Amino acid sequence: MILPNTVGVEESLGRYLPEGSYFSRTKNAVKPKAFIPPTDLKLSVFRIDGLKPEEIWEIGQKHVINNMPNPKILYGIADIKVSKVQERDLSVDPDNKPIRHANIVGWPEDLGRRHSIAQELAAEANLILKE
Amino acid sequence: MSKLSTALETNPTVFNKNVGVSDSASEIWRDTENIRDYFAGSVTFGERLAKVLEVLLKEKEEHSIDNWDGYGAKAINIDSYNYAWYFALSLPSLPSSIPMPEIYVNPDGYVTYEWYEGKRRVFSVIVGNRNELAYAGLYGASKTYGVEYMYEEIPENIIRNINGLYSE
Repeated sequence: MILPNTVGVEESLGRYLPEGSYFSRTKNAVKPKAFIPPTDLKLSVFRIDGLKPEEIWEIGQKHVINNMPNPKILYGIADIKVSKVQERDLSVDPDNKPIRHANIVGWPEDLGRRHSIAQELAAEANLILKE
Repeated sequence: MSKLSTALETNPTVFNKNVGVSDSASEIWRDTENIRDYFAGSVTFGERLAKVLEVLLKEKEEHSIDNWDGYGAKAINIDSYNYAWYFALSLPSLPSSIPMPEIYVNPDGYVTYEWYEGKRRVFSVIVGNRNELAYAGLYGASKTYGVEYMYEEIPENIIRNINGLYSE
């Protein structure tokens, strides 16, 4: 499936979960930590529409877990719609490097406000666990 | 049981003074000694504090190099870590009905204390690299965020927001 250069509002974005602290199994919920951007304020995600589950995990293993200095376990993915991102005045920049990669950009400088947005995105996301 | 737990069981406020790196950190340790004297002897204090500090140490160990998340995360910010100890010392003075928070290092390197009750019931305190505490909370459809400064105690506004998660 070839994805268009621009993201659609109903498209799904996946944020891989490389630590148990990124989600709550008992509450079946993604935690805010999963959506807190690094200092360059580019939150890395992948466009996951049209992928089979095994393809989703393959991308996460290859481009996130294997990229760690001390590779951890890939627990799952936080699945969020582009519309939920745009509702928070953020935008999605599909750089396609690597294929299907995009960044959520437009984060405010204010640290508290950034966390507030991360809390809202986590509340809107669906938790999909690998096993 | 770890060495830290053992040490804290004997004296609940003992900890390594050598983690500070600046004049500010030295001030923290002086203040800390005062706080320690004040609270020494309380078993509940010791138990709660031991758990918090043990997690804090573990977080530092696990997030001490860049890119620990595979997405370009920053290693733990040492000043944030030092102030997080200072914040931790005040946590056990919260009402015992309030659970101890989860502690983690963010991709931006800052230490965060988080009270998580569910998707829309969460309050986070992000410890900055001075005595700055950024905070954010989600209470159903309502939200709050801002910044406070910590001097001797946890700021009243932050305590009020934590209480808000557990009242009613």
